[in-house]
Amino acid sequence: MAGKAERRAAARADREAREAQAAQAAGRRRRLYMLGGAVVVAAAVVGIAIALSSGGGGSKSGGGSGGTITGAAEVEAELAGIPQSGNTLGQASAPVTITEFADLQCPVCQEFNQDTLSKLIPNEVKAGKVKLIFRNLQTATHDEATFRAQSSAALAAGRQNRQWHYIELFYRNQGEENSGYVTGTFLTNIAKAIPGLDLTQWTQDRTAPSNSATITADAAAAQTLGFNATPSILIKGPKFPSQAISGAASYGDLQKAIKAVGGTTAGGT
Amino acid sequence: MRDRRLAYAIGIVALIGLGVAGYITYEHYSGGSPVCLASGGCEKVQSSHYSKLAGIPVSVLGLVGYFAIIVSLFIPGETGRFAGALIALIGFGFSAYLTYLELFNIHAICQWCVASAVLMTALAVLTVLRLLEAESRVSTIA
Repeated sequence: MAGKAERRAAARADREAREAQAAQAAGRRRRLYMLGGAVVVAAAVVGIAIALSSGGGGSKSGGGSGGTITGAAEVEAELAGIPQSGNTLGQASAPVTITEFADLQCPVCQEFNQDTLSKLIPNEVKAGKVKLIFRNLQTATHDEATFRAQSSAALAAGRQNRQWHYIELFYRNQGEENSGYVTGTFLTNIAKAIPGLDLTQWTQDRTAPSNSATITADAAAAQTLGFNATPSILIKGPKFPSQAISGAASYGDLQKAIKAVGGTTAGGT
Repeated sequence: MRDRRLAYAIGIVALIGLGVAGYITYEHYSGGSPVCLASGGCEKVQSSHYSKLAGIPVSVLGLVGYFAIIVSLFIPGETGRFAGALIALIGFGFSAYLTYLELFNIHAICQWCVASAVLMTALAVLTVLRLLEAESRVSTIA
């Protein structure tokens, strides 16, 4: 009798063990399916995120690719009637001097140019209250040779007192940083789009050794001022101390700084 | 129980991640006006246009991800484990993509971003282990 009960118990234990094993196997399979599902969903989400991320960058086509430089008429209209001398835009007698350290490939510099300087130039600069000086500081451009080539191209335009035309046109046609759009052709196409620029002279001046010296001096000046980002702005006026702003300052910030150094601004605009 | 230990490990790693992502987010916003920087990997990476996804800084996305993983620990059963694994896998995939960008596209490495990528990888492994882990109570009825 005892043997029979034992056998029955053993059989039950055996059956339970098998059931448990089956349940375990089923559970394991289910969890693997869940993991598979999680992997697939995660891959899809990451894929969408990557598409969004690279798409955001792709919206900037890089002006050089098409070979056409746009905005020449706009720039000419903006700068018409404002005196230029080398890297300076505005009347020499302007009481306030704003020195901007920038990298032509830096997207934030382009934003600053588009959002802030586009208001400062037709107002304070045109009215002779402020003059703008452009100086070179390598940030966004990774390759030093490219940085020097693009900076020299602008400086060469400066020798014909059209550096700000060059800068404004470069920003308007700026491509995605370091995508390789800044080629000799791109730089020449910008020069070609500037009305009244002597292209032969410009081509000669591009390789002038003094450009290189200027770029090096600009970098040293930035270092002395403690500037390591672009755009960095120094605002000097009749009243001390000077004001320094790092980053894409708004037009309002700039006007405040101009007043702080004893300058005047265009009212209300 | 192994599930419990895994849950603790996930919680700790996610908390560290929350700290790292919080720090990067703080740096991102305290910088004030955006700038292009000459030196330093982190600034370069953070000021690159890849540092934002549809206008949201990726560090904020990281912050949300770590937080969601911690929240998933409090959801009982398979739902919580599934959610945790799903979020960690998304985080892992996106971190891998960002690290690839840093190495081959931006050419700058941000230590904090790499730290976050390592933490996300650890979380992906831990949450997947936890999802696959059998609930011992169910399998040992006898």
